[in-house]
Amino acid sequence: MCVGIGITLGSHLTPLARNYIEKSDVVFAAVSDGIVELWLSAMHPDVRSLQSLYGEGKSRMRTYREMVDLMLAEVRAGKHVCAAFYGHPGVFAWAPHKAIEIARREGYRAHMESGISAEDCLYADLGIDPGEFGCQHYEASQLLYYQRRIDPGAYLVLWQAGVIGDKALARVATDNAYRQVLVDRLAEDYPLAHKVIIYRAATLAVHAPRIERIALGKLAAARIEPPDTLVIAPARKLVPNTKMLRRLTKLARTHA
Amino acid sequence: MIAFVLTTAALTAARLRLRALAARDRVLFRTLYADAATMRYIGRPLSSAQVEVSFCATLDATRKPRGPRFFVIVEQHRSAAVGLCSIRRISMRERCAETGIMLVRGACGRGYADEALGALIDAAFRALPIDTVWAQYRRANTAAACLFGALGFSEADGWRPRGARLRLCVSIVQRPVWRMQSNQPERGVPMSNTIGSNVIGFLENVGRSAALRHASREQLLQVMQREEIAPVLRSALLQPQRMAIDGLLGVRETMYCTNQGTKLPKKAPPKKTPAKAPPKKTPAKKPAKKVPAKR
Repeated sequence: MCVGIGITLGSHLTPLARNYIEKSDVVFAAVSDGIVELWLSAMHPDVRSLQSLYGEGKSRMRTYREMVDLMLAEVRAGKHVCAAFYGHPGVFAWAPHKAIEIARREGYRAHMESGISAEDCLYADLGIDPGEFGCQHYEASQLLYYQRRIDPGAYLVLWQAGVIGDKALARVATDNAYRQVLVDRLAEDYPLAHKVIIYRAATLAVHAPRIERIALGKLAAARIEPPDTLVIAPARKLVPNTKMLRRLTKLARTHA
Repeated sequence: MIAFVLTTAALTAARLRLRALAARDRVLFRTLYADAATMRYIGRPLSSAQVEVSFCATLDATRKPRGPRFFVIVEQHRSAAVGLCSIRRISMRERCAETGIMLVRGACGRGYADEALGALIDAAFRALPIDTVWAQYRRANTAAACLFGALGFSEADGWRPRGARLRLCVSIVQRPVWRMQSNQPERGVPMSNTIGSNVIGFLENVGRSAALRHASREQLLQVMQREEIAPVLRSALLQPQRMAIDGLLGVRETMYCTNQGTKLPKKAPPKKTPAKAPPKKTPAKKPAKKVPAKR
């Protein structure tokens, strides 16, 4: 069972996720910070942190595979295993999807329970409705590695910008030079004066989220850490698609 | 095949740090294994040639994904290597692993063995699919018996793990016992457990209370006072930066990296594939060589 514990300690854990955590034989934890891990440890006598698997200079893909191996070793030993991930266990998380896929292939029952993700917090904290102009989400590095088409008429959300461009997946953070590459890419679609929001949801309810507005041109010099997300508001008005509108008007008339 | 993952990233105790055994540790290895006093309960001290062979074999074994894990115990204040400890004979089938420790003579009697093994066994239970850690020692080795007793080990009641020698005493500690007696998620947490849980309880209450979720600083201070949270913690909790409270609770602020890695594109895009064909015809390359001449 893979559950999400949400982002904010105490606020987001669903009753169902808590129940899974309490009823399992073993709980594996990949959470946002040490205090959240302490909180989780109080819910079950056998909470095993996956944090020790990360290492500076070690490929994160190797870390994720090791996470999967550890979880499945207990499943194969006949134990009821719950893996608790911060946020939503299926959003920007490789290991939970892989673990479920392998467990099912081997004939075990495996399931994912959704949790409140950083994306959900972002909409609430920034007052953004993705339905208003549309909203594009990209993993920041992917935006650079591949030819993607950005629509500046919609919101753009870039995840994992703190480690952008780390091709070896082995760094804890990447520096200004890497962010400058991102600025150059974004400058193809946005003016340099356009505002970018650096956002980080609060993991403790006594704290406020990080919401910092900065001009795109100054983004390279800004402090961006692994938990931070970049949000770019639309820079262009929506352009009506007259051809489609005409077709729809015609359709409406025929159906009237 | 599962590789045994036991990194030294978080292996620190109050006064010590553990790091993986490396080629530069030959001198330490010799100091331990060639010393008659250190070896008196283990076996005959090794000759120089034997030390060399044994050191190379140990290093080779540690490089195997499922091999033993040897850690050098380093004093934090002077970065001096003072001993070796290990997790080995890791058995997926029996869900157990053996631990052991050797300290150089000058480092004995300082409580280092307790600290180092505490950190190592914590890490082993966190990172390995095992339920039991065991140790074997000669009955005459009362220091070892005291050490493992103090760590919560008890004599294995008739159970002999694979690799245990018949004449040696085997002590074990099981995961639930280890958890219960350590009674804290991480060793080395500076605040008492009661205070830690008090703070966590307060944070959980704020998180789930509609009245407190967006409370003012003054309201939060009142609640903390009512819940008897120490003044130093109150102030730390309300600082916008996490450093103070994390430091007091002995936890790291941000622990994770990210949970997803983006795949890099595979070599060349498919469109370019036909263009690669002409170079096979050697003569066709000739005109290409003339290109610079056009400039």
